[in-house]
Amino acid sequence: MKSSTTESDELLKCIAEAKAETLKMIYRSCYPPVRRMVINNSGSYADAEDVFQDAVTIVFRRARQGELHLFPNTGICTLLFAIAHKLWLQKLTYSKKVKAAGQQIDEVIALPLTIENEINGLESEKLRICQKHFMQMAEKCRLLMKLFMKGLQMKEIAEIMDFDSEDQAKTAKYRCKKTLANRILNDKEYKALL
Amino acid sequence: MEDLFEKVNRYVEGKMDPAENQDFEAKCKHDPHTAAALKLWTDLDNMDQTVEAELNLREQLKDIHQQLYNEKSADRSRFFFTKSYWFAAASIAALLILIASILILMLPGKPAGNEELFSRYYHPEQLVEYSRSAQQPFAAAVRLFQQADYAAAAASFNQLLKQDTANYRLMLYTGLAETGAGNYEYAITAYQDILKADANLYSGYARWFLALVHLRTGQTDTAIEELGYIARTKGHPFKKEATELSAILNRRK
Repeated sequence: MKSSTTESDELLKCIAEAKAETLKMIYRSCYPPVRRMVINNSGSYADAEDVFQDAVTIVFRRARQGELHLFPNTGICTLLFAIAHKLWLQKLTYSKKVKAAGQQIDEVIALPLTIENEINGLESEKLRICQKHFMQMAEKCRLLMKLFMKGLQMKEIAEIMDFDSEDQAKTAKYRCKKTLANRILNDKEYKALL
Repeated sequence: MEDLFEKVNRYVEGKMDPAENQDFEAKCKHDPHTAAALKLWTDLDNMDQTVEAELNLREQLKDIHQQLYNEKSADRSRFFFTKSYWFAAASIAALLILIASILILMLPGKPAGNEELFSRYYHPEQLVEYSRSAQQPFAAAVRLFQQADYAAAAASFNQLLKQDTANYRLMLYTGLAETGAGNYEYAITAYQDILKADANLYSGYARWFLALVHLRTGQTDTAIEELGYIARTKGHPFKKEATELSAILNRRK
């Protein structure tokens, strides 16, 4: 999936807007090589899925901030592969499973400094772990927490989610948040970052 | 026993009496686990719409994964259980193609020379572009390149590079313009400068064009080495071309 400057800008715009068709096209074209790379380097299918989705999220974040520009003919897949590779190598390093073979692919495409810093940054790594646990929460909890992040008042959240009262919504939010916080704090990777 | 986060929540909401509040703050100073719990609790409260948008994206990606995975499983089932005869037909066709290819390869033919191979693989045209917001001198240099006035383009890119010495894109364009102008030594220097530099977006391109220039200047072994590196590099934008070219060169040897 190589593209010219204008097409690249358009593609990044579509990613920033999370357009379903674009995301699907990217998933279809760019996921298989990432999956192969992870599987060939001591990972599982679930790891490959996580790493790929983390990479797309990083591109999404940077594209929304307008900080990312693709070089003409550098496909989005190359960029995603490079990010996924860095993330996976980092994960292997944490779990001390780095293989010499994994080092071979460093020159796939050097990453823009902003992305490189983000991958190596502690706070963004913590955020990734938080999001991973968030995705494993019950649907109701996810919705409640997302409405809260959106800046909605408890009264509005109670109405949207059919709670009897604002207090009930507040209690539910507290329980969801406590479950999430416990899972994150007990996460091995998160502990390693502290 | 009170959960750590229950305590953290009471502290954050200001529901502790002064003595307990003081104890808790002291504990945070000496116990990293408690301090981390407090930070995490407040961090979760500070997650805003940016994080919400990312979570929505993750949900979307999860759905897409699910959809594609199911599509593929369904495809596989159909293939193996209802259309297995296609598999046999495809195998026979592939075998016939393989035999034909071997016969063609065995026919005597003149191997392509370095110059011919260089022309076959060297295609920088689409790479050298400028955006609408590009500065005038840069756009002018790119236009010179596009008009195949490589010597003038190289001079312009070199001039721009003097003002912006760490601009890898300019270095690459300089290398390409020097290559076009036939100044291969200068081109090699430009590509090598990119490869020597810190992490940058253009190293993959630089190595591919470096290999081609080595080929063009008759340094076939060096070219094979560079191509081998690219061919071994997973996801390299020119992996396929490098594998192909390296096979041709090795066969010719």
